[in-house]
Amino acid sequence: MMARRLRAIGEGLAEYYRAPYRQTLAREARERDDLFRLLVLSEALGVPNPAAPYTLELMPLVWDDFHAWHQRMGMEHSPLDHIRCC
Amino acid sequence: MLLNLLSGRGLIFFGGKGGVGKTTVSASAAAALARRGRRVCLVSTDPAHNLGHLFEREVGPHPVAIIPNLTAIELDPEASVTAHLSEIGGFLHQVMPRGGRAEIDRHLERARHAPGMAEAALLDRIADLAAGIGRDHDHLILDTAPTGHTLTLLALPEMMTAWTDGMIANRAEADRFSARARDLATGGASSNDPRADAIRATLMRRRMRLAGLRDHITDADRAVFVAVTTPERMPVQETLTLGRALGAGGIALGALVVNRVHGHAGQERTDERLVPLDREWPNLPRSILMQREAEPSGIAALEELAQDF
Amino acid sequence: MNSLVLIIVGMLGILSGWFIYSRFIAQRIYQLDENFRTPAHEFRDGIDYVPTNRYVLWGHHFTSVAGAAPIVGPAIAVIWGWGPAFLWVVLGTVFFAGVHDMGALWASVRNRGQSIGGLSEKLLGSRARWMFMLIMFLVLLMVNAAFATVITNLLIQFPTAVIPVWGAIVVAIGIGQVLYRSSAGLLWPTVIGVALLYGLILLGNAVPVSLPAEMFGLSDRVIWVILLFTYAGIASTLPVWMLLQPRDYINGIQLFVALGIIYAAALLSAPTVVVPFFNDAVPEGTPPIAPLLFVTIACGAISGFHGLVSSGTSSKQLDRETDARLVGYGGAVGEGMLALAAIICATAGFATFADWQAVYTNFGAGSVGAFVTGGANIVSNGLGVSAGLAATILTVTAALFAGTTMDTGVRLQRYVIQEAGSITNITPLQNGTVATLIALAFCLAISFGAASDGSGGMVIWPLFGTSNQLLASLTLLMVTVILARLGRPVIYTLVPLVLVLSMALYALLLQIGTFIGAANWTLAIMALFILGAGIMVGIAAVTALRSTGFSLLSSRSMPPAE
Repeated sequence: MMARRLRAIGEGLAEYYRAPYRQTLAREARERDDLFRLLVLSEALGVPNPAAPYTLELMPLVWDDFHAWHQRMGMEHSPLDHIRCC
Repeated sequence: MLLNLLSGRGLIFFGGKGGVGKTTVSASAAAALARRGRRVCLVSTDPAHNLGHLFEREVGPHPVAIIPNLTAIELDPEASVTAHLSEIGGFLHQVMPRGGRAEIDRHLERARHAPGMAEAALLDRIADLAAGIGRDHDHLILDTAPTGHTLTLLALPEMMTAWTDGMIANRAEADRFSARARDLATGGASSNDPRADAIRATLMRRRMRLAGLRDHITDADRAVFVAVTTPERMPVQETLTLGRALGAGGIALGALVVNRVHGHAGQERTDERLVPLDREWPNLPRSILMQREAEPSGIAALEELAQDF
Repeated sequence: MNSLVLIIVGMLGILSGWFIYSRFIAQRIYQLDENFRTPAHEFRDGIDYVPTNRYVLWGHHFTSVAGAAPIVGPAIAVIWGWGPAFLWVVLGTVFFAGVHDMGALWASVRNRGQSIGGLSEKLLGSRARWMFMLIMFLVLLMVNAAFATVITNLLIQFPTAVIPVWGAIVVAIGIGQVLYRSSAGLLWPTVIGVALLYGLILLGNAVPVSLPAEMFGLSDRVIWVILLFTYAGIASTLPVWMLLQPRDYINGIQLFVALGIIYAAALLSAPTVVVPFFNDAVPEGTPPIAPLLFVTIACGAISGFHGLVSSGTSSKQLDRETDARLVGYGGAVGEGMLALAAIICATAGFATFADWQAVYTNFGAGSVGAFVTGGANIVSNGLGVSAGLAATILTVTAALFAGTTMDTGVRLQRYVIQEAGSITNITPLQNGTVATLIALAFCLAISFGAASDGSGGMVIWPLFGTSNQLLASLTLLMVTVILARLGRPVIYTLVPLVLVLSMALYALLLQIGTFIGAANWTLAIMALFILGAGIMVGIAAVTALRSTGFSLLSSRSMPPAE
């Protein structure tokens, strides 16, 4: 009982120290993901993109997170007028 | 002499101003190499195809046997784009809800006309064919489109390699940060993100292809670019432009073919016309092809032309 | 009088606030609802919106709001005797800070985790947003200038801290790199990092470093200030994970270590408070206690800065709405305890009243130096460490807090400038480097404009407190408006609002008089700006509240609005 409680406290402490760091690193990763997504979708968003043929084949791979992404970018609804997700 | 040079190179480009006889010259070189027992694949990337006329038979997007060891292809950018898009469409259909399929098709239809789309599709096919050198054939001979198109096409691998490198660097950073964030998760290490792996794999595949083609094109031991011209002012000027632009892109001219030279009476005049090229590339191997009474047509005529090489 | 009395009475006061008053506010006024779906669940994304264990969240909230400010303010304010500072810290924590912090958290949770800035636009209109940005910029500006002075004073007074204070930056970068490049996890980098830091403290203790009194015609003070801002400028443009995060991380550990050391030592040695309850013999030129006490101690009694952390950061991680009590009110309690520790160090760490008076020679003279000197004596008596080493440890702790606040501050200033640039369409302002340079130019102008030797930071300390209180007023105002619209009693937020706002405005008028009298135009102009913002807050408060038809004490039933 005592040992279990101590372990729980230990885990809580470990989590206390890890959480903000994990958050910072995850945020850095997300910023790069967002940029990547922007590059992949730029043609569809109306930004001329010399690599359009190659971004097209990446579209399916960034698709699943598209809704969360455009909301994060401050766009309430899908910016692709011919593709709806919400 | 030219044939010896060519037989040592797997990837052979013929280029020059429209109407100087690129198709005739490349087809004749192809036939001659095939006759020497080399397996040759001759490809036309010029939208205005005339390999079919030359060989007096139907040539299409799939290899057609002309004579033993020689196959010919007329690449159709339009068809390549369609193939490329339908592959992507298949992916998208899988991940999108059923109701959205019509919208995906509409989106892809619009993408069809994006700048660079045709070149990219063409390049893809060329990369495939170039990868077959040594396996399916010994030589890939490309009868290229007029100068502008060709330069765009040849600059593309370099440009797009840089682009994929940028994207790959982005992924490497993002993946590293995600991995470090996962290392700090309480529940121990979780498995890799399958989506990140798929993105990286797609990019790496693309990069391998583009960089492979770029390295192949710029390797003077494995590839050669033959400029075709006629002893006239405009084609010579364009050859100069073409050669310089290729040089800037890391591709050196390997040989020059001067086509349709008029008998002995015109010899001096011909030399005079070619002075700018001599000055620019004094040691460039050169073949002179005399003007024929009629434009060569059919295998026999092409092989006869090749004797002048 | 024995300092144990202070500790016990103070703790009893703050704890009864926690057990009785905070429960009343949470249940009856904010009516925190266990079943309300918080933004952490609603918008869960694993990064910003993460339902977090409340004790863990409390720890993060506390370490984000507690820095050098709750040490500096009380350490200055004890010049009026221990009583006023003590009472304001205890009562302020119970009736002001706790209500304010919990209120900001609640308001933000009920509005999708929006920040106070965003809320101000929604509730009070776009002018309030500008006002908010202006006040925030000024708060940041002054905190940067003040902390540059704080660190400079510490480095000059305690040369043994020079090596560990700057070395800590290298250690932080090292931890950041190790965590970025290897999958080592946190344990070993932390153990090695902390060991290195304490190694540096021992090294610094043996090898004190002082700048020559004059170099290139500049005094050591000026050079330290310039070096510190150079650091802050560079650090603020580095990626967060590279320096700021590992520094925050070390500071988080350091904060608990230092608090533990001070309280353990104080309990063990039970030092005597040598300063009277009320000091009649204040040095010449000390400003009047009312209203200056209320702006000298901002953090530790009530601080608008907490509202920024509550809304926009902690609010996105609240697992259940009822946790707002522990995180918001509990965070204020933690900071009150830190301020209490600072009061004890600065009043009980001296052998005699005369010794103390020798340090507090004029207003602003005691400050962190007194905290470190006094604290070191207490720690040395209580735990048997040499006074010199104890002083080095406390100096490093305070300087690390202040330094991290500086680079965060410059970073936030840059964001404000960039945002202003994008609103007004002035492209150069949107460039990161340009915006950072402008922020630094402002900071240096204040540091040297207020006093030519770069010690302007201490002169503007009350001004910093004032703008911090204006920010707190703005937050309290928004919480009050929300309460009024819900038909709930507003007296519990309105009284702190009125008191804090009027004290801030009163203090401002006095300070403007002083600045003009001393022909210090930089500060006079800045104070006028703050006054303008303060008056606008007041007008906004009156107009916003009049339209709600609020009731002071009773709840009214309201037609379902909006």
